[in-house]
Amino acid sequence: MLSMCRGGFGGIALFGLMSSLPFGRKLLAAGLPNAASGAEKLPDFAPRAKSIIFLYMDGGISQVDAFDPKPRLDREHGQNPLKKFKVDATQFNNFGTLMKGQWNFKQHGESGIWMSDLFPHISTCVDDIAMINSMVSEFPEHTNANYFLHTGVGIQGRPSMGAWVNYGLGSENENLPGYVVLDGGLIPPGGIDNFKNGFLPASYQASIMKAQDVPLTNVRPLESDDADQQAKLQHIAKMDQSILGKLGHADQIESAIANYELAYRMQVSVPELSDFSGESAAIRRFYGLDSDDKHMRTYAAQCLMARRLVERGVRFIELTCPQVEADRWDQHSNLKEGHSLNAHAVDQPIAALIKDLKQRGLLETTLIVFAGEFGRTPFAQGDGGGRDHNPSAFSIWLAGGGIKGGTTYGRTDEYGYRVIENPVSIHELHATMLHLLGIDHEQQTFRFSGRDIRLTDVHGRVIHDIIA
Amino acid sequence: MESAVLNIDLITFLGRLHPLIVHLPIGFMLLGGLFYLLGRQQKYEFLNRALPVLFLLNAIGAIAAALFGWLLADTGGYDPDLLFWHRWAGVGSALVSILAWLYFDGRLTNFPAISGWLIGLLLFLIVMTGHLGGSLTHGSNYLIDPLIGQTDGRNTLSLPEHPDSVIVFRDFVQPVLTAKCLDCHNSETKKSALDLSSWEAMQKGGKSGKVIGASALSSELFARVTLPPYHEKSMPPEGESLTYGEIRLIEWWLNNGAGPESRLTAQEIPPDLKIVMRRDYKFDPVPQPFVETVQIAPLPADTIATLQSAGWRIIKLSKGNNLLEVSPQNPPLVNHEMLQTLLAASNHITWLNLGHANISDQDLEIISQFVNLSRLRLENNQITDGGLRHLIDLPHLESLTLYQNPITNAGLEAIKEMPALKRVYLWETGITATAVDDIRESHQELILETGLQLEEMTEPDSI
Repeated sequence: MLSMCRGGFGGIALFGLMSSLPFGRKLLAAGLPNAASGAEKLPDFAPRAKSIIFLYMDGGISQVDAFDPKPRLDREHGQNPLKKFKVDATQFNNFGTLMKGQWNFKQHGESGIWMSDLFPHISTCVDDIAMINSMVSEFPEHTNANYFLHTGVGIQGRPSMGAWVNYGLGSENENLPGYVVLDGGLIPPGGIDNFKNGFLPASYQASIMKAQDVPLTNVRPLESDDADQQAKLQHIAKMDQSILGKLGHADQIESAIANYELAYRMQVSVPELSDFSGESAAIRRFYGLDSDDKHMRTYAAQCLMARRLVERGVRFIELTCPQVEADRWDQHSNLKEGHSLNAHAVDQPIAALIKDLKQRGLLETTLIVFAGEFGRTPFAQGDGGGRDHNPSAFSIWLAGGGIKGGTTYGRTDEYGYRVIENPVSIHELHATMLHLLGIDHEQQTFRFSGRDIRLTDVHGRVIHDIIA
Repeated sequence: MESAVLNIDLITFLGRLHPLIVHLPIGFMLLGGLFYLLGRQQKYEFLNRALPVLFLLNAIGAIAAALFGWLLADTGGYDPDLLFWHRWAGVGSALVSILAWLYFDGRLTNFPAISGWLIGLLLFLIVMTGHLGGSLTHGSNYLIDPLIGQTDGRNTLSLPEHPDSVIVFRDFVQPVLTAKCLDCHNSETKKSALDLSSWEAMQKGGKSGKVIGASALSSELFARVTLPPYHEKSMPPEGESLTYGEIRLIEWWLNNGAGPESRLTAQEIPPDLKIVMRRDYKFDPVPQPFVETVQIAPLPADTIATLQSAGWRIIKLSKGNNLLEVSPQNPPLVNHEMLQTLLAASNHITWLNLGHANISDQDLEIISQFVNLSRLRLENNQITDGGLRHLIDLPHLESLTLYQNPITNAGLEAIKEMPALKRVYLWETGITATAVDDIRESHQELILETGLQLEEMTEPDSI
């Protein structure tokens, strides 16, 4: 399988063809940002992980329902939170009563990590997971919190963490981009700016694919034969080179040329990527590709494709959520139903992804991060059975690539409302992710607006306690 | 008011004036020497008349300095060797100063003309005394440290490079005892019947109590080194006390059973001790991955180019790490000849990806020569039980991916013998679950990943 992408049977013919094109080699000689130059980009120290799969849980999972059990909430269910603790303003400022966790919690695995029945499959993987119960964000609203989670800054326009990784390490596979977003159907609040390159060269932004037959629009050539396409491409290249000669180094044009090149190579690599015919029936079933729940089928295809991208050397893969018959994980009302639908779609595919990577020996070099932009309040929003946003405490987990499995890190108060031990900021999450890839988050910078800027800006520290 | 509060220690007070007083004779003596030299010129001949009074002042100052110094030495706390030499060099300086005054004042009749020699001797004595005094106060290398680029003078033990190899007693505890206790408590002198020269000897303890008890707080040794220095039972009675870091390390060792062979990484190292080791010993106690412990010169660029043209993809592990990750550019094209080209990098390859690459048993013989190999991927090949035997001599192989190979339970014998193996991936091989369970019993540190069995693929109880 690996063979096909790394210049396999089809690749050989294509490469022969590539070198006859006016772009390609010349561009490399010019030292432009190009996926092919990825091999030259080295980490600062020996990496633990070679790829990251970021499972983005859009909308904010309720930690007290999923990962952070609070017996006191059960006891004080229905009481007035304002009489119990100081309550911050929330987005809707419609404080209901304390609301107990809606699922039963159990300890799982040898490590005894707590997880609720909301995730029956993922809870079988806890010994590979480091659970962080003490995440804090700075924004109580989706758009800013998403920008913060994805770019380290709560405003629009900064480079996404995937773009930073791509900038730092490049793709291991010159026929695929280093940063891929697998679109499940839900665009996060804040839009695709969450996945952009910001001030980094444009070739580092995410390529957004769907886990379906044709993952990328227009990847299949419309021309009836190769010669036609070559003639067109040669003409485009000539025009690009001529304007590039006049402008000198212009990122937009250089990146556009690099992207054309990559697009050309993806005519072979991408259809192969989404061809699941080589996957056994057992594996397809295991991921949930034959589920009755079409959203599970969507997410299963994303997870399987994520594994295939990891096998092909793609550095950073983010999965967005499928659009279930309720909102994203943003249950301001009717949490029981909304969380159930969302969980059902992702639970089995995620557990399958972990176990499949594990049996292939790939989990030791693949970091999986499961995170939303914030958590939810321990009290209800009004009387609709939902919860409001809570950036003061939430839970995420990491697994694989250098992570000490079976760890629980950080603690919240007895209501799960605020962090009382080892708070972890988004910057610290980013610093730790980069660290596991071998990147020193304090050294990786890009000069913009008059100073050297990092993904973690002036913040962050590596959470060594969750690293094996 | 109670009279008891009048606890005046005049001796200590005067003693502490010593560093002030010593500068007076130095000044007079230097001025005397300068006048003597100038006085040999005709133009400055008149300066000779000042010599008797200068050397008188010098002699008075030198006597006072020696006297005050004697008082200061009695307050204790100085390196005894250095103190001995400083004390007698100081007394000598005072005596020669008196001689110089007598000589220049003309009181020594029929004495040979030794003025130049006398001044030279005095200068030598004063420089030596001064240097020894400075060493007593500031440490013996205070003066020359800035010239020879010394470190901050902290402990520089010769520790093993890898934390796993550090034995707490041998590498941390014993060097402290040797440096600070063994002058008296050695196997011959055995002061107070205590011999600290070996772990066995320490078991007996001394006249006052046990060295090794249930914990640090029941150890007489720990009690003595933590007494305030003015206490008469404080140890060591002379010379440098134990540092905080040394005491903390000994305490931790005592609290953890005080074994002679216990390894540093065998138990959780408390966070403060990690800081102590990094600060005082420049030693990082967190076990490093194997690849970070290998120091190797980079593979020459032309060798890399040759390997690349042979069809290999070569990546350095990181900017500062010259070990290599190697993968074929096109796995189905790998053959025995192509593999042989890798022998040019046999010391550099640490991660090798040979999945789906038609690898058969005899190819593994080549791989067995890659001494720094730590991660080997061999999935989906034609490897059989016999081939695995080639891999048992790889000293650092930690991770071995073997899924989708025709291996059977017999192959587990070779896997058991691999010395550094931590993880092995055996999904979709002929190895059975019961055979794996047996190994799990005998090799608890080894993770054997057999992957999904069909029965596991059924859903757990749904929500």
